[in-house]
Amino acid sequence: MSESPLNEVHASYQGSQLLPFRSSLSRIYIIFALSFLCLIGLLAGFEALGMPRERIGYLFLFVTVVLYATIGIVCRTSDPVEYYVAGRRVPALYNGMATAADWMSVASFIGLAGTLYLKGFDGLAFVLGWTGGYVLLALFLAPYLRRFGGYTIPEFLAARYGGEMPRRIGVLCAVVCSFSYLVAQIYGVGLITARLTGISFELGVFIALGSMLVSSFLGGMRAVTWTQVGQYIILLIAYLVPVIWLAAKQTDQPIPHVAASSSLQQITEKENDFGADPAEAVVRQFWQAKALVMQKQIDELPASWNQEREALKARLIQAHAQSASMFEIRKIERDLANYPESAHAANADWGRARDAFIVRGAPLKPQAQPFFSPQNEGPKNGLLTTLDVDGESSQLNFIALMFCLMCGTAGLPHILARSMTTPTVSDARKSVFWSLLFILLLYFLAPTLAIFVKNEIYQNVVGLPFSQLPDWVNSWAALDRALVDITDINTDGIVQLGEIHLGNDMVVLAGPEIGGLPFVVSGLVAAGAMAAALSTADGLLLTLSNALSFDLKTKWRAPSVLAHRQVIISKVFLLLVAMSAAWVATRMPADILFMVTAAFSFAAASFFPALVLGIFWARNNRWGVSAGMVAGLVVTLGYMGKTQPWLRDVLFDVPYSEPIRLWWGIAPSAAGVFGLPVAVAVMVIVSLCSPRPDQACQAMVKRLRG
Amino acid sequence: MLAVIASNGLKLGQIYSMLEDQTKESINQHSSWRFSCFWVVLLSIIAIALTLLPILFAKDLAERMIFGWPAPFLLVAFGLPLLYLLIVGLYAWLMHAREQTES
Repeated sequence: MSESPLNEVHASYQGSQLLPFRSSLSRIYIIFALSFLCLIGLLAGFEALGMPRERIGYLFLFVTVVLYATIGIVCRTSDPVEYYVAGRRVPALYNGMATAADWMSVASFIGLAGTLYLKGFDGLAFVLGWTGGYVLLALFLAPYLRRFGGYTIPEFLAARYGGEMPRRIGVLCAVVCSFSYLVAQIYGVGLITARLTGISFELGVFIALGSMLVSSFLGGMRAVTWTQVGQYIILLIAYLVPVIWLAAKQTDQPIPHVAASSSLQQITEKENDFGADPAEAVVRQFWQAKALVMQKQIDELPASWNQEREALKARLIQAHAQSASMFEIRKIERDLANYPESAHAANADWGRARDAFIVRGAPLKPQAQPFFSPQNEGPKNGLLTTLDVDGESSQLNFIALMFCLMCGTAGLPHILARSMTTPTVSDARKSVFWSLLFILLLYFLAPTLAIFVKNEIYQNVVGLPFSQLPDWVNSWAALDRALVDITDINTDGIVQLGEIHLGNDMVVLAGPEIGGLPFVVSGLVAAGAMAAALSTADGLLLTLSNALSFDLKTKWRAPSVLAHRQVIISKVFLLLVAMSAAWVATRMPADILFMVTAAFSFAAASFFPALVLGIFWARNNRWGVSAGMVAGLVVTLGYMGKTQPWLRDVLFDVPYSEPIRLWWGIAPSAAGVFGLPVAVAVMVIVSLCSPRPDQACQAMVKRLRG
Repeated sequence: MLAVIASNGLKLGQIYSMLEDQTKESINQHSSWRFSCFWVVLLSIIAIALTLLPILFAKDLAERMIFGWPAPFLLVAFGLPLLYLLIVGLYAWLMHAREQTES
């Protein structure tokens, strides 16, 4: 390729200019971090002086969005190398920081600590998968993609394998992997903005969209890179402050890991107490009984759908006749308004409710115990949630999920695209090291945050009289009862652990309030979560629009388009992708979290084998790679469609509550574990059965290897 | 190459040195690729083996404590990610050192 020597010249020319560039960057970002800390101090002061919470929320939102927009405006460009790969002069350290921000999505920032809170040891599959993926990226992909010197991943596939077919399938895979991920980020930003300031969800989505577009539309990869570095600083501060504060508050020890070890011991002691507490057993039996009732209703469908509705109507008439309290009448009216529209919808709603009751009726899962399974440990009530697995399967499932997340991380196009922005091949390797280091700074804190929040709940909420519930319970329950729900089941007036339901998102978002920290810390956490969502959304938006515009439009349909017009076309696609993702996000799609996890399986079964074999096995040809990627996607989607209750309903119209037969207990989120081997096998067999790659492809492999 | 020789009318010595340079370059490229592959394979094996060990033996190690933490939790939550960082750092350093020597 003619581009490579040019890149090297470009890089060596920049090498001599990188030192002053680097030192001025350090100065700018140190000032940025200090100013942000001053802002936190200032707002903390205002809070002490009595400033209302909403105003603190508005200020955090306004200042951070203006900061991101300013960086976007300063870095505006229409030069293709700047727009697509930030001029290939991002030093490894800063590229690492930008990759870390690109990587750290709502799922990492908010979801990881929540998952570790709810799943304990088993949630560590996410930590291993999401960090181990960077080993695969460094060893198998990043340096080679940088040496290739192009702009997008489908472009790499086209250059390595020749022909348009691998490129088109690559674009399809990029859309499959990135679009649901993008929708989830925009949805997350809308939700956080709404909670932080009290504005409506739709308005929150469009504010998010605006601040994202200012940076990606005006400056492409250049603006996104420098915004992401700033966003990383904000999200790291937003994670560090509450964790250190909670550590110092709980144990007088500001080092989170030292403090968390003693908090974990307290949690283990409490877990033993809860296991022996008869009041907890009564609460669990209540939930088990509710699950059985729900199962009976499901079994009697469709007749029960009509009966239950009539029973609700009769209760409403009776309540009116007996002049019942307004609260009770409103509750029945709400239940009637939310009543499933059909017997089919009732199956899904009641199936979900049954699963939730089974989970709440299950024995307590100890925080540090590996592969705990209620089926093996607890009294069996004959009911299983649709996705329950036993202890051995949960170990296998842990390994499968970890494997999928590793390969998926290394195959996600928006992370791969960041390997192309460094000055040299060596910098691409160093950049992966820095990325992983910056990601670990946050991932090392997530297990400690989960432990601190759990300890707060166990020590300070369980055992409280219901009349003394802390303020955060009511304020978050008023937003959404799926987030927090504490009900006195056994009517003893005391909170039992089994009576508390805490949503996944609460651990990070409400962590400061649960720990009794000032509101300014909650505002800071929300600003950090927004930085995480916006940075990932920016990266995804660019990757998607570049794949669509650069690969579909300019190379496929109009090869003669000029360089600066390419950028204009990319910007138009960027607007289209952003608008459609925001539109989908405001429709609030069901099971968005599953769609995000699914993206990893799709990337693991398509891009990952296509790219790795493209570099390490010269015999792989365009027929093999195309057939392999399609086979990987089909098998992954097929397994998910057969085993994920929501997707099974959408694709095959199978009622939600039907029992699921998992293969070796592997959960649908790890479907890539079947898709990846099939993709590799198909690539090998089809390649060996078809002609060798042509001279140009072989020369390309040689060049990639250096 | 033949076209270059014909058009420039090079002497035998020059042709010989050109051929020698090209062979050296090809050998260099080949050995550099082998060097990279050797470390990729070795580091992958280390990563896979050390990842699977604490997971497969997690239940057996559950009672042991390290620095006040249950051993499997500490190894999986902090030990393995740190190992991954070391592997990525070592590979970047090895390849960088090799490229510096070659150039």
